Amino acid sequence: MRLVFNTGRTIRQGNSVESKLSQEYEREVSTARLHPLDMLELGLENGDRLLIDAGRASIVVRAEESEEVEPGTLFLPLGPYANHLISEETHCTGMPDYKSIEVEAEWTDRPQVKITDLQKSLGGVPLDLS
Amino acid sequence: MIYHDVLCPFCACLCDDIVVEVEDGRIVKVDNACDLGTHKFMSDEKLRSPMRRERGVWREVGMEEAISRTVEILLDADRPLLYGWSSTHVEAQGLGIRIAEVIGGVIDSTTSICHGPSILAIQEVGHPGSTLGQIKNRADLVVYWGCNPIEAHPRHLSRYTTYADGFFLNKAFRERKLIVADTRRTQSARIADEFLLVKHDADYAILGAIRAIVRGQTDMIPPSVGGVPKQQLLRVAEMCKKAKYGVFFFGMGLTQTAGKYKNVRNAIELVIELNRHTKFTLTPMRGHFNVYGFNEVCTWMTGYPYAVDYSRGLAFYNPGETTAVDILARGECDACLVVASDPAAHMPKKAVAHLSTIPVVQIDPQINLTSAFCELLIPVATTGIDAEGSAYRMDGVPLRMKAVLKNVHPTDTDVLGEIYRRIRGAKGCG
Amino acid sequence: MAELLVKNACVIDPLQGIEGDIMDIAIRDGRIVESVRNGAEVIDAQGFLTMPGGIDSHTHICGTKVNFGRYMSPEDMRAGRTVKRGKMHATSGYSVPTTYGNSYRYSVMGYTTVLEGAMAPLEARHTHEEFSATPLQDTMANTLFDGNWPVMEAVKEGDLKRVAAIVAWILEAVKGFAIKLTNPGGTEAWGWGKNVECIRDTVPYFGVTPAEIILSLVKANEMLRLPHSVHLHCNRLGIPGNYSCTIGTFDLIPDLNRNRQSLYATHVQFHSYGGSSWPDINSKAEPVAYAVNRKPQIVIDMGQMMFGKTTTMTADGPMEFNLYRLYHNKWSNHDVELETTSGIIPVLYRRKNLVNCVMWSIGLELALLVKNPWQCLLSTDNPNGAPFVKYPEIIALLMSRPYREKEFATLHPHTGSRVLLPSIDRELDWNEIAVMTRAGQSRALGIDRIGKGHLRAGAEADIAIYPLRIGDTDPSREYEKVIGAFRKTMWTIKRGRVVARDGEILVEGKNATIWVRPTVPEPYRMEQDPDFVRNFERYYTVRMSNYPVQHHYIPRNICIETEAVL
Repeated sequence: MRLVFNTGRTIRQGNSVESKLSQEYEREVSTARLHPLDMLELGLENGDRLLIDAGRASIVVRAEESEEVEPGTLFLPLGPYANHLISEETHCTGMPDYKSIEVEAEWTDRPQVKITDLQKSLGGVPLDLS
Repeated sequence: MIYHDVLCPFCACLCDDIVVEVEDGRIVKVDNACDLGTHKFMSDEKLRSPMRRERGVWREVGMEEAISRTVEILLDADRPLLYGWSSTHVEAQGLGIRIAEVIGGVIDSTTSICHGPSILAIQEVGHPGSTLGQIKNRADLVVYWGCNPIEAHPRHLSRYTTYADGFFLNKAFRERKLIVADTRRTQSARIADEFLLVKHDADYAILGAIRAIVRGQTDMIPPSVGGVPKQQLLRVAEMCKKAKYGVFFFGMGLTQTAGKYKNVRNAIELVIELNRHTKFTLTPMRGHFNVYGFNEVCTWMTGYPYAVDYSRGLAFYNPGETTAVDILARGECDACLVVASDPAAHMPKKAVAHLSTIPVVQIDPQINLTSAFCELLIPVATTGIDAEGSAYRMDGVPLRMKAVLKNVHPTDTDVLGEIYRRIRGAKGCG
Repeated sequence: MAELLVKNACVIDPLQGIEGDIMDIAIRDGRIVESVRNGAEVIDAQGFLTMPGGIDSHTHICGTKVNFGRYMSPEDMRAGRTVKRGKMHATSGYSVPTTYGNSYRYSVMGYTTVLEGAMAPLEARHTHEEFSATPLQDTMANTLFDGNWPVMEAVKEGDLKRVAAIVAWILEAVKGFAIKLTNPGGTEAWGWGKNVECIRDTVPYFGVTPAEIILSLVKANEMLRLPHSVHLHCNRLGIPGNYSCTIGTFDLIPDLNRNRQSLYATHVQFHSYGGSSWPDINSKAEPVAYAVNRKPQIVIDMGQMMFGKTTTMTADGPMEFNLYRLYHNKWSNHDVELETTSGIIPVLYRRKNLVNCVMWSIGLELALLVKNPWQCLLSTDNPNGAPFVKYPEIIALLMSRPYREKEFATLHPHTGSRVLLPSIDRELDWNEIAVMTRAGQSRALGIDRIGKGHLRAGAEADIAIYPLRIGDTDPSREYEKVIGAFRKTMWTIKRGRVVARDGEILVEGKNATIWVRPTVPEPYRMEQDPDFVRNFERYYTVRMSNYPVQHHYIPRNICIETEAVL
């Protein structure tokens, strides 16, 4: 299904921003909000996994319904999952297109990657101090 | 020990009425702060020692090794990028600019992926603004466009707008009208007197339509613009013109969508137009508590608010070229110093991936997503908790952050000052 | 002990009455002394013109609006770039240079002390942070009281002591130097998008008039025994016909102080317009100068306008919006809660524009028609009339009638019918220029007593040596030589150290901030006044305890303490 992808801050993302290695942060920034009608059309229950394909990249996230988002749109909080889909093109402004990206979304049984896996895929070496 | 009137080091509301209770060197209670601020005050997930990664393995190192390696990396770099700066104090930001100047580097702040486009718009048409108290005391109309203060700036409404009592308003909540425009029905949208549900990427067209109506060109407006019915546009324009004092706040909903700075320009020109009818001001909802401080100090030292390239010995500014995402995504920079920010959590994948190919040093009180891409992590005191210094509120009001704890780690100023001293020594400029 | 001997200096020092004597100046540890030991470092001034360091008593170089002028104008930043070199940081900016740009350019012109013309108290910390990055001049800040709520309330109650007490608390809190009034009352009206017409108009809600605000603060200023007088930007700036408002304002002012003026009126060029609208604007410099000549209690500065691009910036927010509606360029505005406002727009002053030509003439006419140079100081209201780097040209214009005639010939052809300048023969001499660029400022600001603006033993060793011998120079004919000399000193000495040599900056430097601390009797301490505290906490958006500027921001400072008589 074609959806317009959008990202931004949320209070939960903000709360856990000081502890980005936490479960809460990972859960918040990997949870996409969709309108209940779109959830229905995609055959999604709250907590199901959703594959978002932006053409240049795709990612699996959790889906959750929300009356806040309009039908035909999808909201994913600011964070590494959203970044995975965003192009580095800034149109000479310094600012990438963080909002209003056309994506294809569908139910999936593929596993959701962890933040640390995303980091590793980009060449990072996460530390574990716990 | 109870500290009063403490400043909150989270967002650019820069609330200065926080009460913090300290026992045995730990913060045990925080009053008056919002959830976001309280979490930051109470967080104890701090990095304890400098860390260095060699051949894929992390180990603790001493501060001396960390600093001398940082100096080595910066001196060795052909095109270093010094990035971040929004969550530290102005004095440290100024030292960052000095370091960039002496090594011929590029310095940019998180501004470029936040309100950078707002600055580009201001550079085209100006900025009719005010301090937040002017709004609290006078505004009878508040517009939040493309921002969600209840979630991102939770006390903004109670301190400065909707719920704040002001001198010229007795029952502020009843006397003030609230207009929210967004693509989502956010919590902020729910309390609005008028909510404009904006279609994606339609902000420019809608702002343009309101401008046209304010100028009296109502006939040319089609029945609906960007998802907003003409009747509502007419109502909103009338509310704006009738207000005694209106204010327009805006966020990433304008700066990150199609058109970017042109959206903001349209908003500013609407506000300028409204000043021919009444009093109207505009304020960007800046994010981090001191992101504006970086713009201020960078401007008085270099002439430009962000994205300054010193590689030719003079300050050169060209957003789109000298901005962090572009420099990283082009694979141009060969070393990076990240201070008080987390680019790996907020930049597109390709920009982040480049960090893994170059030496990166992070100066930050805690581990974040960028840490995995670093060679060195240098722990520092947290500005506003165990380090003092200046910060500029979203409206430009300068305040001094307090320290309520004794610092274990050096401050950003200490660490950057030492790095600057050594680099100057190595460069033979004393 | 650092000692320096400047030998064979041709000194002009009006405060000491020295007019071109060849003498030696001895310096020890940053101050002028009677003599130094043999072996002190020697500078041979070779008979070149030597004066106390220049003082600018009205300039906009640091703080919120100045920085916003930079922030919104990358085109201006690109118009004045220099690279990092030696001790000099890279600089940017032509009309609103970066702090280092300002500091280096002033220093190269021999200026060692500058007064920022307008600081909003709430944003004082910002001004002080920029002062710290202006290392080669000592700095001080006019503090804005034009729309201050508690002050206006006390004025309305007719409680002068309370006015003085509020001023005392704020000046000490913000580490300010003097009382500044910018379009008094008008800045509060601008909070509603309105303005006041002139001194008899009433401020919305507060019900006081600009005349009452001005007169109350002039009296409070003397009760506090401040070094400087009230520093006034009159109402009605830049509006044809405003000269009568200006003269009416001067007529309000009693003569209250034997040592200096009771009112400093700034950038009076912008306030000396005749006519009823732009098409019939003409010069009213003559009646304004005549009023000044009759009133020793008034000192003015010129606010000279020079042709070219610049940026206008003032706390007069409504005026800037009017200017925007003429220029349609870009416009910034910044209102400050309970206190004041400000506005900024870039402008281009053109010789083909009749209004601009009249403005240019008026500034010069004022300086030439005010008889006593101590009463009319040289300024451009930097950068409003022009960037301060134009001062050498203004000096030459004042010293040379032929230069004025040459320039006048290039102006709009109708200028002659609107102005007086062509009929004025006066050419100022070296001594008068020294008065108008340092000695007059020192006395007007009341900083002669802390050793500024003269070279008497004990004074601060701030000295400018220009590459010009007054004996072999006829400034009337050789105006180009005069311009060249005042553009670049051979030596600028600050606090006993050579900081600039032939246009090169030699040291990093460190400014000192001059501020005042008036002490008021116990019952008048505002921090203990329940009404003041309650209203502060209720209507400001910062806590009262977070308002005062900490000493951290003025690491090197000179505090002038006064004992108020209430």
